[in-house]
Amino acid sequence: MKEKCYQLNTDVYVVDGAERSAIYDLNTGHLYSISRDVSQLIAHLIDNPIAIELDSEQKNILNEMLANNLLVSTEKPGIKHDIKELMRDYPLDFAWIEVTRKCNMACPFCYESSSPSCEERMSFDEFKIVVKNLAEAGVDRIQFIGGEPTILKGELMRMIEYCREHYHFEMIEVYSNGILIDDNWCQFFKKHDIRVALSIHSYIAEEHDKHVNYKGSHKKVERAVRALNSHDIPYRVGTVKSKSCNVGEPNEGTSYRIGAPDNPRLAGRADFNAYDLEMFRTKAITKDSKRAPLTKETVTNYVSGHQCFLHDIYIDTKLTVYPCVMERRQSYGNLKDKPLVEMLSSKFRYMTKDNIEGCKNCEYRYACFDCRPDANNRGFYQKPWFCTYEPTKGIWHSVESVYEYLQKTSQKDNLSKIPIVVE
Amino acid sequence: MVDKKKWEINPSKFELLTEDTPVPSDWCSPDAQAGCKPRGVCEPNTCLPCWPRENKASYQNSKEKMKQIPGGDSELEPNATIPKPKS
Repeated sequence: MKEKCYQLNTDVYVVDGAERSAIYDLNTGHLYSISRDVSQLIAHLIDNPIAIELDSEQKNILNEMLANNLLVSTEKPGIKHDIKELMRDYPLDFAWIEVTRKCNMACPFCYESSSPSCEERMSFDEFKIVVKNLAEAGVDRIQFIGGEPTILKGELMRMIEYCREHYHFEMIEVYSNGILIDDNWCQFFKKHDIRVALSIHSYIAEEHDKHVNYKGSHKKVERAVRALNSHDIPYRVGTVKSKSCNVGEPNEGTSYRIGAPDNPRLAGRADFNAYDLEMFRTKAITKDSKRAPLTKETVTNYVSGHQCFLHDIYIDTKLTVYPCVMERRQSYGNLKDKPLVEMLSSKFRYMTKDNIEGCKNCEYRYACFDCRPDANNRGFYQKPWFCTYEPTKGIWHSVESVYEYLQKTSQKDNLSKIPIVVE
Repeated sequence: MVDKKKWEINPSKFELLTEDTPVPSDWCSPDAQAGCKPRGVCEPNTCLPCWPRENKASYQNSKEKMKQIPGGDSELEPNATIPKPKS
């Protein structure tokens, strides 16, 4: 029998988990789940010019892999592809700037626990330090966030004017609850090319007001929408879902659209009680959620570092730099002590799911979005609380069984205690 | 194109998880990718406050020519009449 050599095709990778493995085909976007013996068969085919007899199942697998260009024939023993070869560096490109922690609202789900009683704010001189550092680090998109930035009134305008006068940020956005946005603000936004993000949680005024615990707030944010529309200010709508808030439907007179309501991240005041089973079903990492094709760009990002922390940073009112507006358990340092450019080598920017307990042995670890602050009171390095896969057993638990488990004990992180009900 | 039905291998040994492009119609964007969820429940790259990194379609009244999201905000052209809600 003539010896044959094989190797994985370019941009095809095998990633081993504790029990099973996965093939990432970045040419087609396909993700395959394979058993350990198939992974071993692939390794053997790559390592050895073979003349061995394969059994019928192994032949089928080999033929399918060849037919789908996962494996290719070579003249000599094949080159081993390691998915880590995709690693690259990314520039920082976005920053949240918390100019005040004070808010004219106190939404029960606020990740920052802001309220009218929060007094911390960034001074103008401190703000100048922030934007200088951001410009030096190459950040070209910034967002003013709070608290509620517009309660700073003239001080916020001064900050924005300073940015436009001294720097060339590609995009400046103000994240607002819309309560104070009126024609004056819109004229200012228009003049300085400012975009706006608005928090609107329902088309139904009563539902929105109840959700944010502020009677009359929906009416005010609708006024903001009208002003933004009349001044042609680009704005978007951010919505946080809750089982107790009906988003409703727009009517003919509704001049905005709620696009993709966000499941609450369990950080700050938000907790698991915001979820019912149906919301959890849409949140959970399940076998079904792996239907979307992979892209090489995304997998490259997941292999290289954290998909958010690589690109974004958050600076609070005290000039402490964090990986994310919701993630304050780890900081990079303070801009009063060292420049931002010296913080960018932080291990947190380059963390992958190889660093996450419960994920590092999962074969899907480079094909899975990771929101660290969405922790449900778990530790920084813990597996996502909404993942239904157990890599040490190679099984998917049912969404219902995980939800029930979380209801009983949302603080713990031991899927092995869940009765095995495989999807 | 892989057709799952033609595979004769035990799925416990070898199983295709992803669906072939184009992205399923219940996905929020043609750019849906690993980590994305069906429309309306997508994850941070298209939501607040980790607003769209590359997807500017969220802006509801911008005059910029933006990528289109089926059924999403980007269908709203500047000064367009808002479509009537589903009955």
